[in-house]
Amino acid sequence: MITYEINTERSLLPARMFVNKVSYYSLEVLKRYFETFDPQYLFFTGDLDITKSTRTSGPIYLAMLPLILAGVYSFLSAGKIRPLVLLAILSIPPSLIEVHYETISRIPVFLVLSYFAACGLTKLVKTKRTWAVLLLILFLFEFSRFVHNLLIHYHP
Amino acid sequence: MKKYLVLAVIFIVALTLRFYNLGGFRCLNWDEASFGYNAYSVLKTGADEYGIHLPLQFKSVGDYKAPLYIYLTVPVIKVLGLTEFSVRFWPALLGSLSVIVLFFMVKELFNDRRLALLSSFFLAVSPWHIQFTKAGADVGVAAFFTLLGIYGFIRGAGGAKWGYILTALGFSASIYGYFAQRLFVPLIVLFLLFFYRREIVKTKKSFLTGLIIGIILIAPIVPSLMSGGHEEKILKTTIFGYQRSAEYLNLITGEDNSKILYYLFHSGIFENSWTALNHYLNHFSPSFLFFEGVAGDPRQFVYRMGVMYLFDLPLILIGLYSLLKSKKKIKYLILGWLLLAPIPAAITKDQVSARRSFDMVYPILILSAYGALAVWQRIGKSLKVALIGVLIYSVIFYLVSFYVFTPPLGYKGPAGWSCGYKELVSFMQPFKTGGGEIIVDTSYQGPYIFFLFFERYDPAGYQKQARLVQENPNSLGEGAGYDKYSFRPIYWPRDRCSLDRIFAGPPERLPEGDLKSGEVEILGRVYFPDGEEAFRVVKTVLGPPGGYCEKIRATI
Repeated sequence: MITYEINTERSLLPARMFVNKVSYYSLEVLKRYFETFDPQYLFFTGDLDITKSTRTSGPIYLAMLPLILAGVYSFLSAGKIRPLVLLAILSIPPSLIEVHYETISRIPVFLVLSYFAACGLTKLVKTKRTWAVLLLILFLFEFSRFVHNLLIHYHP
Repeated sequence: MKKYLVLAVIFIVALTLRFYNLGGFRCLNWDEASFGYNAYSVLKTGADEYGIHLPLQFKSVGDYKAPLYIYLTVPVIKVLGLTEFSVRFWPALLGSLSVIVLFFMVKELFNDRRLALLSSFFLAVSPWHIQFTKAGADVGVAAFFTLLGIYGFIRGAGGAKWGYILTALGFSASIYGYFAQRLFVPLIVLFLLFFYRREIVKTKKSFLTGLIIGIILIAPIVPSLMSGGHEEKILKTTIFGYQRSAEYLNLITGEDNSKILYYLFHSGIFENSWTALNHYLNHFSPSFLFFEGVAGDPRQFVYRMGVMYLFDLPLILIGLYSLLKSKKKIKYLILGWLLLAPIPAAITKDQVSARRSFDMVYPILILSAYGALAVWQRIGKSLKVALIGVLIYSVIFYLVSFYVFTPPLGYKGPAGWSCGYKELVSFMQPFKTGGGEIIVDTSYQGPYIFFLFFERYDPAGYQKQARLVQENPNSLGEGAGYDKYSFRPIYWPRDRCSLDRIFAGPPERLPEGDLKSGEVEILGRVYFPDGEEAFRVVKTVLGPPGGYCEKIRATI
């Protein structure tokens, strides 16, 4: 299929210098690499395979988003880039899998994201306690919603 | 003048990219045909296609359109005639001028000429911006005025007496220009009021002048904001009009034993809000921004590209980080603008919309330019050459994709560029003089508006015959017909037996196997630009006695 697409595109003369297997596959890999950070996948729907997701929640909770951002920012501000490098490296294996939005290979990434969220929460508890409490309430709500959907409405 | 030489070159680049083959780079879509024909109607009769005198919202193809773009197009049609170029003139011109406004805005905000030039250049070559300022999109016109309004506010807060007047003009025009701006403009105004609250106190006299002018300008449209048409538009496009299916509700309530759990996790208000949140965040997804754009919508996407270049991805991240780290207060303005811009798109039914989130393009490109400048200052000569190489490669790839790969994917269908109608209208002209009724199939939506547009049909004549047929309140509807034309779905098992009628429709409506000689005469075929058959035109004739049609005719 991909070879067919490449050949079709290359049949158009001006496109020849831009379309080749290297550029095509590089784009496909990059696409899958950044699928890991797609908000819809992460927080709302998860894996496309119904046996690996309830399709009503993502692999991590939306309440963790501000915490992850706070965590990442605190690492960057402190000049500590190792956890970020780890995140970047762990996102490579899923980018080589043919299936889009595959979850099993992304589990290590979620662990690092959870670590960032925990760091963000620690920081937030010290500086903006009200926000931390609100996010924890949202987290608990999302958790109960996930359990409810999993136990009551999930029929893989 | 010398100091503006680079800006002039960037403006010429913007102008060239937007005006090159403007009339023919894509077929005319039905939105553009509606804008164009209604402007023509106003020019000839002072009323819209339904005969309503100088309306502040135009109903066309059953959809409501904001008035500014249509009224702006009137003088262009007067000078250049009713053509594709005329319809696309204003978005292309104002899109090119946006580059200049952005330059002055960024220069004012950051006091950095290089950043201002780079932001302008990024806007000039932006796929997102070109997409909606090259085609006849009302959002391209409205977004220019929004940008002007924000720039005016910044200058007004900085002490320029004309600043707030420009804001009043810009924001009012924007509200008249596009429905999504009616949500975004109030949001950005509130944000600007908060952001510049101290400066406003210092410039309260000119602020009040601007405010009064703004209120006077907006006042005429307020009644139409409360009208049934506006409500219908909101219900048709936003999640507020979304009704969950009875099947879904039965399933959920059947499985949930507790009403508390149902209201907690499945109430309509919760699910709609959750969906809106999902849609909001989709506008920041790498897939939308850098890889696929709005993949399902041929009018919004460019093949194998997002709405931005891939090279923007690292630049935006670096720009964001550098800006957050800086002590400039202005960072909150850029981030606030960026975070508010997708809200109109988030509350609509589409998962993602490049059109309704169009106001994101300015702050996100400022971030990209900020990142590019940060990188530029830290790298050596060879890397600079490589960076320029990547930029040139990306722009050329975009142009190849835009002009070569993308068009064949969007020739067909109501969501696409409606190719084939221009040729069909031209083909039908000889048949208008003799014979019976001409029936045009509505599978590709809105044929009546294309016939009106390409025939340059006298609006006064159409206004007397204008009739909209809607299958249900949620559908856009169709113009029923005029003169000998009838626009409706063709049902060939029945229609093949009508006598002395001409039918024009896609091959699936007029299957080759059912076009029997002696029963029908094939008058001709119209093709899409890639050679695929778009329309068949056939005439029914009296077939031999007996058989299928005789029975059917007895029932007609």
